[in-house]
Amino acid sequence: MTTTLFTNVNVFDGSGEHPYAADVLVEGNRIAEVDRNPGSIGHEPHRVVDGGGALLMSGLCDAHTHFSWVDQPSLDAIGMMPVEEHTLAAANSARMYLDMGYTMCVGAATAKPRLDVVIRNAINAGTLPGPRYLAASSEIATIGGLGDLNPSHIAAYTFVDVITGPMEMRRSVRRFLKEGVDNIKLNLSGENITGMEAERTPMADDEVLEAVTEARRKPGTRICAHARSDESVLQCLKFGIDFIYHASYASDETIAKIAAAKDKHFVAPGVAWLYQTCYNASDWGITPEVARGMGYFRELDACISGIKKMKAAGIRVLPGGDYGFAWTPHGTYAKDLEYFVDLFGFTPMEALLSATTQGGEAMARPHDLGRIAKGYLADMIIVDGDPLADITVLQDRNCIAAVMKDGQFFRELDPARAMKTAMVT
Amino acid sequence: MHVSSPIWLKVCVTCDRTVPTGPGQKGHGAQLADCIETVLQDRAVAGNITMRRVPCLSGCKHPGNIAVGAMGRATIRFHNLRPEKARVVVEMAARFQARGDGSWDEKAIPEELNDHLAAVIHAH
Repeated sequence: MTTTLFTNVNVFDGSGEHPYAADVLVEGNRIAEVDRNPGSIGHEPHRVVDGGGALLMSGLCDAHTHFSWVDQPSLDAIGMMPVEEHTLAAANSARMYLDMGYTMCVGAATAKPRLDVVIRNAINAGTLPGPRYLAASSEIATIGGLGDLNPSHIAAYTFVDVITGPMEMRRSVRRFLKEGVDNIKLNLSGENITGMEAERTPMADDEVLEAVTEARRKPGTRICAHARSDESVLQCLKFGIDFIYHASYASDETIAKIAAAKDKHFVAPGVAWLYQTCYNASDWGITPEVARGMGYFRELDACISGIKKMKAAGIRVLPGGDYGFAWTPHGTYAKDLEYFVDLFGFTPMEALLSATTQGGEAMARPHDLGRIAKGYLADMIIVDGDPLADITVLQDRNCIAAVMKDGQFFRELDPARAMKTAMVT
Repeated sequence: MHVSSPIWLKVCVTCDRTVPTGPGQKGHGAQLADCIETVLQDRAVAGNITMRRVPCLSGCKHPGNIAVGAMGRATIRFHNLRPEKARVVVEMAARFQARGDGSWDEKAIPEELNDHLAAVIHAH
């Protein structure tokens, strides 16, 4: 069995404790020891990796991942992309996540029915590099709902599965379960850029109920929902939907209801989409003035206000999403952590915990993932810098000095590297 | 307001994504980052300015993107920058840092960067 001993590292273990000096022993694919008396574990027969005083922490989690959104400028584009090219592009997205220190990803929808499952299976088989991944279905939407881009006179080309009524929903969910998805995705509300307002809730209760009932027939299946409107968040609560995405317009009363059931739900605001659409999409024709006219500034303000209340109420708010549009490109995932600190008022510690310890919970593996502790899977990154002092360090690939997943290095630590910012503990 | 937060200076190292680079070659953005890093090493005032090499700043159609900001403060993005602009970029960051009260004034932009201003995002 391969054993790796990390020495001269400061460990952020995901417990909430400030980093401390420790040696970390990995045996096979698991953490065998976190020794707070550095030097106590003999070097033989282990491979020794000297961390140069850098930070060792769990890999990060993105709670709203789209491998198959491939930096395109429109939703049309991901529907029209041929499946062969799309598969290669999605594989590149997966690699990029891992390259940026993300070892956990919760799929939030795939653009073609089998893409997510195929990429996940290849990652699990070791034939493609990528994070541990919960593969999602395509988005399931009602006629005229978010993603139904089909002109009435043309057969379906859009990237979502369009249904009407419980029976069509049952067929859709069963089809995706047959393909082996982990998550079923429902589009419960609109989206301003599509022409159906974010505050509309086009999917009927009986359609949602059918989706949830059918999904739960296969144990372990999770359900996630695009839910910007207050009414759609209430649907998530009513039907026990696991991942509430966005929740921009959740009322105070609705937030209180989420809080009352906080152990059952995760909220991932996907704030990058709102922020970037407001401020950094001019190159694609969406100037701040256009974004304001679409309603995105109003929604950004509502999101910031709402998430602050959710955080105060103890609701699990997770970073991630919607990376993979032209103005929220792949690779920039850790900007979410900056938003959590700068917009939502998280401390850097809280932001890191949301992306690690709570990431493990989101992956439904709280005793395996998200922490540096004995028995946990060895999914870890070494950071040349202190994200507790400056959370933006995680946006710089040069500062992600090493990436290990399942006890194997995806990116080795360069032994000649002199760490620029060895942590003081 | 995080007036004591470090100033970050983000440089997109993917620019120009339309121009492929071969082995051992550095793209436009990476070259700009190298030049900025060199200037920062020379400047005594660079103590609280941290450069971040980032994959994208969403200015792909105007390659050569940098952004200056800090927690609780404005973010200012510039585009169409060549590596020769490294020194004035650092000057810009230093002026931003000097405004310790967190406010922002467009008159503080060095004249040489006026035509390169892409976006000003005020603090929330």
